[in-house]
Amino acid sequence: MFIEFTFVVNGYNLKKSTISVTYTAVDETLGLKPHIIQQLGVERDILPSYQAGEMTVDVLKEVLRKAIIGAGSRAQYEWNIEIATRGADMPAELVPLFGIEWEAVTEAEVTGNTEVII
Amino acid sequence: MAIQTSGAITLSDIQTEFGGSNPISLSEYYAGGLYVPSGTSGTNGAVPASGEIAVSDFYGTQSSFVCTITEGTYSDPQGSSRGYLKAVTTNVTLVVNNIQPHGSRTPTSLSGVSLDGFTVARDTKGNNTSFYFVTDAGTTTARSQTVFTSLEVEGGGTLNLASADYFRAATAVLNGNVWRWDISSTVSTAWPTWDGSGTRTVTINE
Repeated sequence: MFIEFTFVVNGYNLKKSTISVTYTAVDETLGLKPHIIQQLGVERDILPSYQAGEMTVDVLKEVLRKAIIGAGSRAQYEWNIEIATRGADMPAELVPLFGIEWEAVTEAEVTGNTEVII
Repeated sequence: MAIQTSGAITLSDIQTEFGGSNPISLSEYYAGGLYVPSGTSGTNGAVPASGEIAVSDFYGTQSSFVCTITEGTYSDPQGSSRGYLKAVTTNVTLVVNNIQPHGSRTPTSLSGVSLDGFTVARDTKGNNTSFYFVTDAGTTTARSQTVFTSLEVEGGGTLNLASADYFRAATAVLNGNVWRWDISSTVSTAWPTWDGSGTRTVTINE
């Protein structure tokens, strides 16, 4: 489901052309933590272009807003997983997995993909 | 490129990896702060989110960078592609020949490397599906294997460099650098969000 959100731009990293953004769900009753993207990539020439007078502050804001809203899909994704899994009981068959030492980790496991199918 | 795992490192090394400006204060580099993503860890474990923090906490840590893909689609009798791909008309390494450009991405480059493809492509004939990461499309530029160490794909999990098939074309008419992961076994369950519409994020771990 789409979760309406607000955002705050925490800062701009000139060296890396990234911005730090905090996304916050509007509906506080959902109990969702703010989602932070520390290094959201934006075009390298945006700020220089603005400083050179090639775009107005309104255009700059529009460009950044578009990039921030686009990356908001990550917050939506994480929040929806949080909502979907909230309150779920731990299956009984998984309980024995805890509190014991698992099999030794091999080099192949470290270098290979470890996607978990859910 | 990750910070070295031992020996002398400086605040400047940390700034180079994670960004920031002078003067440098270590307190700027708590995990979850302006520069260091939450959950960042290295040789000595997780970078603290608060409290005591030391330069040694950054041994083996690495920066990451979020790219946003506005998905598009392309399909023909040979296969289909969802995500973003720059125009590559004679790309023999992708499953769909004569593939047409689709989608878009922000930003267009990372540290001078042109980001030209993030796509889930299905080969109708072979009935297999792969995730492709493409740089430097349409050029003969060869990238070393240090452009990234892994990709964290929204809705698809983590794809490690070590497990990718790597292609680099030797002639200018072909694509630049292509990394491919076979996701045939997980595509139906782990990749449903890559449906050809909307936006997706890919975190590039450098």
